[in-house]
Amino acid sequence: MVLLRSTWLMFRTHLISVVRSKRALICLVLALGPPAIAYLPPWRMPALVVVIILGMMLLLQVVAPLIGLIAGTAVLTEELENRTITYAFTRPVPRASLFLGRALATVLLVTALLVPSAFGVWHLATLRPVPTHAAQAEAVEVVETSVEDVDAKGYHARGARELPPGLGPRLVLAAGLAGALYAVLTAALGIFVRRPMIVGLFYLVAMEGFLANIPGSSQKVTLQYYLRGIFTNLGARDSAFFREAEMLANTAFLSPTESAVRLGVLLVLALVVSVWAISRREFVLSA
Amino acid sequence: MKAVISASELGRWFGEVVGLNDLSVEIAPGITGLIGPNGAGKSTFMKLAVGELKPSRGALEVLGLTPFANRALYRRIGFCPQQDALYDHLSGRQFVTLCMRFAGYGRREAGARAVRALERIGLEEAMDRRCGGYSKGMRQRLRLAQSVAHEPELLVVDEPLTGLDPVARHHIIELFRSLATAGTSILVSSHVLHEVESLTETIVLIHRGRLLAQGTVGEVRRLLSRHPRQVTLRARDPRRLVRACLDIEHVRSVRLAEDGETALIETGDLEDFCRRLPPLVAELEAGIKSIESSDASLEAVFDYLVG
Repeated sequence: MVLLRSTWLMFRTHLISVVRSKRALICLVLALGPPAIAYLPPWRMPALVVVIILGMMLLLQVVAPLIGLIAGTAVLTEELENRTITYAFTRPVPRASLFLGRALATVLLVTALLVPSAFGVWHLATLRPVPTHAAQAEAVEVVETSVEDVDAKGYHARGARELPPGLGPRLVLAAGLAGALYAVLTAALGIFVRRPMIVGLFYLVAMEGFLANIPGSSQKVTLQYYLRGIFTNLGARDSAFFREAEMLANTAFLSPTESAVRLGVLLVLALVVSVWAISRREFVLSA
Repeated sequence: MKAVISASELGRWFGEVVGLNDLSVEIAPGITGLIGPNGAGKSTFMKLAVGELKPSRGALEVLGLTPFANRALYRRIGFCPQQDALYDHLSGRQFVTLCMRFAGYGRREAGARAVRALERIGLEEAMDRRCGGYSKGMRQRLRLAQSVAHEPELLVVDEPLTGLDPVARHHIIELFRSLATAGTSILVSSHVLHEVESLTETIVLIHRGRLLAQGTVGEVRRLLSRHPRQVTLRARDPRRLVRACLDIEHVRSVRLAEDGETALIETGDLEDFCRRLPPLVAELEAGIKSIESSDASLEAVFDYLVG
């Protein structure tokens, strides 16, 4: 009961302060990026390609980890750097509630930014003009020509395919999960290292950015691998796309359910380990 | 009388840096001054006492409880940290209310306690302003307000008078006195002896993480008075002055520097020396240019006591 009450207090306090912070503003700008790009330039790309480039690559591989990292460092590191953690740690509140409350507030903020962003990308992609049957027919004939030729004729040959059903909700789910995971992992990192932002950035570049994009089973140690699994088994046309993706990746993706469950388990595990660690660890504040 | 803080062979180090070393001390109820030069280990001892840090070795009990992450103890103690850290986006009232919510009070009770503490500390007019805009002294007082608002049995205050103007200093000293009268035990740290002297007779001296002395101010002063002090004089004609100084009974040595203008005089009673010097200078027309006691700092005194 005390834990719940204290967690709620920490959650509320942190949410109010973080929403009004510069940190939240930076996260907002980052989250607005993908939908803004999807909306502003007059791209002549098929809707699926837009979702893949802006949703699965830019949003999930770059924006979500960065937002998670920026917001996640506010959970504990900010209190340690400002040396205000003393006020909570010398009061009769469970130490775990400090982490839980603040981490949950951060997860709420991050998902509140990333979910609309993912929805925006998907929705704007669905609004793209679908070529007429005549254009599609002609597009089939010109399929061997270069993209420039196709664009020059005003066709959207590759955009003729409509987005597979279920892609939008899955993109939204993946974005929410990605943001929550990166934020909680960064927050957890703050318990063990002094500069989680630097370690986190290194991890994002070296692991999530590099390992996740080279063929082979090493992808399985990245979060991106599991996030990609959420998009499998979407339908016949999309399955073809993912079969190609699997061939390129030289590894098989998990099913969406299994991917989501594994990510969820990792999220809970990170929270449990963090709560255990913060209850026992001391923090030496710089003078 | 049972000690409020009891440390036995307490040690704490940060990597290779020794914060506290083999410190055994019993602090009785009432006001106790924790004195030591910068880096002596005062803040480390206080952080151990409020459970912010764990001891590397030895044992520490505060109000009969081990402090680290002990919620039962946190209900009974208040801590005013030295670091100038506040939630700058909150007003003074919101900050203290938040701390009282952390202390377990409901919203209404926390708010009422916050207002009472802020009034008591003299911040009632500024309590609704953002504390990011407070002056250094106001921030200090606000930190103090959060530490007393829940009426703790033991108040641990790290360098509370630093940065305060004389009026605020007087106000805080009066507050400590009234808290002590009401039964609160207070452990207050300072590196300035006379600051604590105005508060309490009981002091604990630590230096380089070790207990140096414990007792009344008078006892410690007697100990300190044996410390020879060096006075550096610059004068137009220091030779005659130096010669005359040798006749003062507590002057232990004199030395003329190579520049011919500077004299270094070691005395066992600085106060008396300063009293006797002006007539001597006038009589000899020595033409004093400057006078300073270069090792008058508490640190130098501690170094002397440690040997």
